[in-house]
Amino acid sequence: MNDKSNTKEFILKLIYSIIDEHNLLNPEDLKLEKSLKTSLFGNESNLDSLGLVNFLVEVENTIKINFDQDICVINEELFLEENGPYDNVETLLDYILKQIK
Amino acid sequence: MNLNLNLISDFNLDLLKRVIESKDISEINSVNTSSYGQLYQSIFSFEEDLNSINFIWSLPESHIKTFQSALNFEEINKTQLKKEVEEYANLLVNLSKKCKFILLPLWQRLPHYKTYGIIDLEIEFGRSKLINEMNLLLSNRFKNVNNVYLIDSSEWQLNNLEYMNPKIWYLAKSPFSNSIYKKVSETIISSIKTLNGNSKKLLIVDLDNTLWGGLIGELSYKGINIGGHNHIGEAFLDFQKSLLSLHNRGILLAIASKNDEEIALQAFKKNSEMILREEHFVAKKINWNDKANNIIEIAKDINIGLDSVVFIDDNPVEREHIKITLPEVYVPDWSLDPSMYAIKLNSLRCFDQVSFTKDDKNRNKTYLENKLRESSKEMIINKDNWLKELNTTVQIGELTNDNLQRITQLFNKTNQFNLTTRRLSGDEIKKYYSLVENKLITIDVEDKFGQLGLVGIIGLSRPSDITLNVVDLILSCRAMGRGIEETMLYLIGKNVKDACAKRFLINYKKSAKNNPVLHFLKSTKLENEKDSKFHSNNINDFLKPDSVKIIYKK
Repeated sequence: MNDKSNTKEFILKLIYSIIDEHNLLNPEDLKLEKSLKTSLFGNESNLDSLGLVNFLVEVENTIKINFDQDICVINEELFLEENGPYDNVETLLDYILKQIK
Repeated sequence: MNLNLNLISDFNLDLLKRVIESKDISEINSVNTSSYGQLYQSIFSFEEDLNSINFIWSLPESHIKTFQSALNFEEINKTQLKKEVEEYANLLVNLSKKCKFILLPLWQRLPHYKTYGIIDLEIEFGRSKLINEMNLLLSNRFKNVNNVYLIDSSEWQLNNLEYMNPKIWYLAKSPFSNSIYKKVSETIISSIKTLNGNSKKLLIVDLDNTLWGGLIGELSYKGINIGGHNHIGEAFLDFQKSLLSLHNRGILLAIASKNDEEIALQAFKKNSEMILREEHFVAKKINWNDKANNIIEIAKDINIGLDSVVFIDDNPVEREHIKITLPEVYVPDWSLDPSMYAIKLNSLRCFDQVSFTKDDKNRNKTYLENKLRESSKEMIINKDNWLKELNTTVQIGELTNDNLQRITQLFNKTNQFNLTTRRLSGDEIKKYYSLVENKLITIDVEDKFGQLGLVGIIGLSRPSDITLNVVDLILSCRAMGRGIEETMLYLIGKNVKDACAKRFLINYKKSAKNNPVLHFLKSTKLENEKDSKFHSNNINDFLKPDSVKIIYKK
C-alpha cells in the first residue's frame, strides 16, 4: 500500500471512531452505521442539522489532533452541492483526503 | 417514580437532551428542551407538573443585564446587579412551587469572559468576584427552599477553553463540547437517582490489593503494603482515608474477602499503619466461600436490598462474577493502578445524598448496635423474651420544622416498609399535612443499646366521620421486626378512638420492594381485600406490645 491509501485507511478509522462516540451519545433513532455508504445528510440520513454540524466539528477536531492541521469541513455552500462531501461517509473521506497536505 | 425532565436554558441544549436519552434511564419518562433564547418565557409559561424536574442552566450575561455591562467593562451599579439576580431567584422560587425539583448549576467564569487577569478576584468589579457574589446570592436565597438543589458546576470545568465549542455556538447556539454534555448528563442522572431514593447505602470491599498491597496470607500483617514511605503504600492509605470519610458520612462499610479470617484480621489489629479498624465495618465475610453468597449474606444480615450495595474488588474476574450473578449490585470498573483508587472512589456519585442528618452520621453506630441486638436475640432464643430485654421506648411526635428534613428523607429513601412508596418533597409533605383533615405521627425509637432516632411515620387522613385512612406507613428497615410495626397499628387504632371514628382503612400500593409491608399486614387481624385494602373490624384488636413503652413528646 502506498502512503495515500494508508492515510485514507487511517482517516476512515478516525471517522468510524467518531461514529462510535456519536452512537454512545445519541438515542437509538439517531445512531449511525459504520459503513462507507452511511448517509450523513438529507432525507436518508439519521443526522439532522444539529447532529451533522456536531459530527463535522468532531471530524475537524480529530483531524487537528491526529494530523496537526486545521481543516475546514463545515462550509455552508457545500450543503447545497449535489453529491457533495456530506452525502455519505465515503464522500466525506475523499473530501478530507483532498484537504490534508 | 417516572419523572419528566425539562432542560431549560437560554442556549441550545438539544445535544445534552440526546446524551441523556441515549442512557435510557428508567426514572426519566421524557426529556424536553426549551427553545434558544427562551429562558424567561419557558419559566413564565411553565404549567404545573409535580412530576417534573427542571434543570435550569443559564449564561448570566444573557439575562442579568448588569453583568453583561460588567463584561463590556462598563461602569456598573452593584445594587442593581444584586436586584437583577434576586429577581431571577424569585422567579425560580415561584417555579419551584409548580414542579417536583429544580436543579440549578451555579454560574462559572467562562473562557470567553475577558477578565482583569491576576487581580480579577480582588477588585470590586472583577468577573470572577462578581460571579462568586452572584452565586452567593442564589445560595442564600434558596437556603430555605427545600426542592431547589444548587449544582456545583466547577467539576464540569466550564472554564477550560478546550471544552468550549465556538463553531457549534455560531452554527447552532450550543456553546459546549460533547465532553461537557457527557459530564452534565452524569450529574443530572445521578441527581435524579438520588432524589428518587436510589442512593447506595453499603459499600463492600475486598482486602488483598484493594485495602492494602499484597496478599496477607503470604506476607502476614507485617508485610502488606500500607502507608510507609513508598508511593503504592501511600495510595492504599489514601484509599482507606476516603473509605473512612464515607463511613463518617453514614455509608456502611463491609468486607467480602477470600482469606483466612484470623490472619486477615491481624492487619486491623496489629498493623499500626492501617487507618481502618474492625469497628468501621458493619459486617465481615472473610472466608473461602463464593463472594456472591457472601454479599447476599451481608445484605441480609444488615437488612438492606442488594440494589443498595456497591462492591469494590481489584480482581476483574471477581467483579465480573458479581456483575453477572448479582446484577442489582453496582460494581464499578476499577483501576489496575492503586494510585487511582482514592480518586476513583471519590468520583462515584452513587453515594450522593439529598440531605445529611444526625441519623446519617450515626448510621454505622446504629447498625453495630443492631448486631448486638441480634446476637442477644440468638442467646435468648425466645423472641418475646428478647423483645422485652430490649427495653424499647417509642416516642411519639408530630411534624415540625426541625424534623422535616429527616421525614423527607424517610419518604424518599425507605423502600421496604413503605405502604405506597410515594416520594414527596419537604414542601409537599408540609402542604399535605398542614390540611386539617390530615395528621402525621412521628416515631422515635430507643432501646438499651442506643438511639435509633426517628425511624417511623404514620400518615392519617379523615375522609369521613367514621373512617380514618392510613395514607402513609413508613418504617426504616433498621427498626423492623422488634414490635414497632404492631405499635404503629396500636397507635392508628388509638387515633381512631381519640377521633371518635369507628374504623381505619389501609390502602397498600405494591412496589418492586415493599413486600415486607404486605407480609406484615397479612399477619395481623386486619380484613384483607385482594392484598390491597386492609381494614379493621374491631379497633380493640390492635394492642400495644408488652415489650414497648410509649411516651408522648410534649
